[in-house]
Amino acid sequence: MLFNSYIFVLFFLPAVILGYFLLNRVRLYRAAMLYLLGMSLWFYGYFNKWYLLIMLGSIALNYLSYLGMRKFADNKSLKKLIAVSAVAINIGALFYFKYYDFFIENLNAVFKTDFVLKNILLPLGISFFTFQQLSFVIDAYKGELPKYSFIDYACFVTYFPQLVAGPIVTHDELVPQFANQEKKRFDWDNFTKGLYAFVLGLSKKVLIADMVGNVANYGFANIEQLDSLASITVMLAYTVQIYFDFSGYSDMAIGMGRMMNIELPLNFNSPYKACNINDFWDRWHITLTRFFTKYVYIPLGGNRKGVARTYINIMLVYLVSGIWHGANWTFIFWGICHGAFCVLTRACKKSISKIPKAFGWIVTFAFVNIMWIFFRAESMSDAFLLISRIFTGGFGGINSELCGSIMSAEWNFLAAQIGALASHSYVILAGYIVLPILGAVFCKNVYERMQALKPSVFNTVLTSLLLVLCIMSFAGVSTFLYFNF
Amino acid sequence: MTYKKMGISVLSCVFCILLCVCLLTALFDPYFHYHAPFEGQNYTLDNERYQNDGITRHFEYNAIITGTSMTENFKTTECDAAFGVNSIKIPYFGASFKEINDSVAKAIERNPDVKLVIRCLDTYRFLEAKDEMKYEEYPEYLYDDNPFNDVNYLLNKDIFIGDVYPAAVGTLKKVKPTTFDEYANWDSYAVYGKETVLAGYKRAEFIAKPQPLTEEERETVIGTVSQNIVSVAAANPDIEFYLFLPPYSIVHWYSLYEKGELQKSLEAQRLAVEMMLDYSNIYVFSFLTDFETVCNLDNYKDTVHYSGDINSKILQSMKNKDFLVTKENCEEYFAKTEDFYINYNYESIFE
Repeated sequence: MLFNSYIFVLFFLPAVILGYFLLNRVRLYRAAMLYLLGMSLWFYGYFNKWYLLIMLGSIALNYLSYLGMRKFADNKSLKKLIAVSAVAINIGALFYFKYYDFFIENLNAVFKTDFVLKNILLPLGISFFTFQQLSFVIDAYKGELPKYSFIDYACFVTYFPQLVAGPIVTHDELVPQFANQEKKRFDWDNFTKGLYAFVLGLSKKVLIADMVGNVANYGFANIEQLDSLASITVMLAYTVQIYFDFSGYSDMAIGMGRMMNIELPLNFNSPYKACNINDFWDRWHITLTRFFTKYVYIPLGGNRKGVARTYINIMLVYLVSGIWHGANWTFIFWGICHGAFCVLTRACKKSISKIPKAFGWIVTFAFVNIMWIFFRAESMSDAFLLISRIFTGGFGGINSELCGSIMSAEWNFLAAQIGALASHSYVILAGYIVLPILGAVFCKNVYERMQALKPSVFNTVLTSLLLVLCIMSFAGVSTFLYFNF
Repeated sequence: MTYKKMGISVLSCVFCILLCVCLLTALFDPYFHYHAPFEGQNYTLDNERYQNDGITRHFEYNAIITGTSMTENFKTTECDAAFGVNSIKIPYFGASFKEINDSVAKAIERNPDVKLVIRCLDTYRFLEAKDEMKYEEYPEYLYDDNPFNDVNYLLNKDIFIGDVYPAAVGTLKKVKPTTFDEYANWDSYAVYGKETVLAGYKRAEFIAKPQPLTEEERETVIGTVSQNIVSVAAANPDIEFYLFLPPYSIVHWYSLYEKGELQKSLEAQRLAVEMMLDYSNIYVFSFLTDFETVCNLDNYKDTVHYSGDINSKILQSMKNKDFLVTKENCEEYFAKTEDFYINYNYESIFE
């Protein structure tokens, strides 16, 4: 199920909250957890029944490994075998679903072999729930876990707000909250603040990210036709899209958790405020950085084995991060470049601290923008082509296709009423790029906003109107283009 | 204000606003999903895939004009006068045979009063797979009877702003709705003539060898004609089906000749027509033999699209049973058609 769908907002979410708190109210605590588990499974299985089976298999396997490691806690070698096998199977499954075709394509390209692609469909969220469970299995091996029942574990992995797109929550963050009796009582403060965060997150996704996404999609599909200005616009559009989409999802997750008195970890702390690349990674997809730090960087030695080894460890982490993000050389290149820039920044820390923050911001923002091109492009050559269009495209006037791609029903309506708007529609496009970037740079993060929320008529009207606008944007009217023959 | 008051207010506001939007959409119902337009209601007919289903559900009619863009310039007033019926026009530009067939079958199922169906058969579609659909994002929620997915219609910003609001304003201002004559009709702003037709046509560098109809293609023709043309006629023997092969311009035939597909196309049409002639309630009209129309490029805006005058002429011809292909005259018809199109001096088009 998608968060931005009628069934989720109008049926699923109200049903979960009502059912969960009603069952808790009549002290059927176990039933409430089972209800939450059942609804989360329905949420996931709604996409595809087979994905659900894969995820259930993954949960069963990891829980059994946990039980095995508890049972054989004194048998070090058996315990290690179980842990290693579980980790291998988790990563193996992730590799199979996500990277098999990529691996075969490259094998064929390098060795001129003719292996057949399987066109494997990727189960949604597999990167997230695999990492979540890896952290659980590794912590279990280290003996860092209290006793968890299967329900505890299953609810933790499948908890619907964070299941498909994070934040990557650790067991010790979530399970104790489910066990906390205080949290089982409905709380209007939390509900309203959570609803507010949910609506802001939904608006970020539906009203901003999806709109500028049309610009980015058009641009990346027609790179050759873009001049310099259009190329820069497309690049910025994607920069806006990816942040508002991903952080929107995280805000929704955090908001929904808060509605249920569950605190989910912050995932985005205004990353476009960063004045150096290391600061950017402290603010962007925080839970992923946290995972890599704990389970990759520190086991490799972190910064405790000399400067050269530190830099190598950093590069390895970013390489793995690139691979995690997607099965394409573009992601790997993106990861490596970020790693290299992080290493460079770290190496020149002293000199950088003397540079004015504004300059640091410009360099960081420019770097992140250019690297997003690789993240989004279908291929390395497409990415380089767009970058070269920025510098060599010249100025061909206002690109009407790009302006057209942002004109939704409400803008067309306004343009029909206001003649000036109709003839200067590029103002709307510019607004969709500039205003969100300003918002990203100057606004508070989701936790700060929930904290700062004061109940008022203004906030009530704003939240209501945004939610109505979002809900009514879930479906549109498709354009049927006439083509003959 | 407390958080509780704010929370309850937000939920109440959202509920009330969404309810109003649903009620207004259901009242003005621009896609006729729930009811026919009420007396004095304004509506604009301009979105085939979104409105045709509703038209067949709720409008009053006993005859249907349907097909691809070949039928968009028909006037239902002329049809009604010629045949003494009360017709609707439900064209689907660029549609496959299956899409049009399914629409006709559904209309007949919904409306037992239907006694006449006038439908064009785009001849190049005989060689397309029977289940082919030309588009992907159909608004299935309008086509089915599932009330839950109507939320896509009732809480849809594009529909509310683009269709419900204008209908509401138009109703208050007493603006007349679109007539079926006007619906999808592009006749008044098309540019016709030899220059326009040839400007849009790029000649190939060489003429391909003529290819006959293969066995596999024969099966394809049989499959699509069975499923998408004759089955609904067979199931409804009391309804008359006036099926016509439209008069594509001579340049279209040249394009087939150029690609080596002329013979194949004629063989496919022959097979299809023979199958249709087995049904007493199917009347096959072929305007392929209207050579005067076909060869006069002033009638066309491109290789296939003819003017509204030709649509009017088609209706009159059907009324007079001109260009009717029957079991008795079909061999003569096939011979005449093949002789003309195979032996035509195509170079003369470009002089």
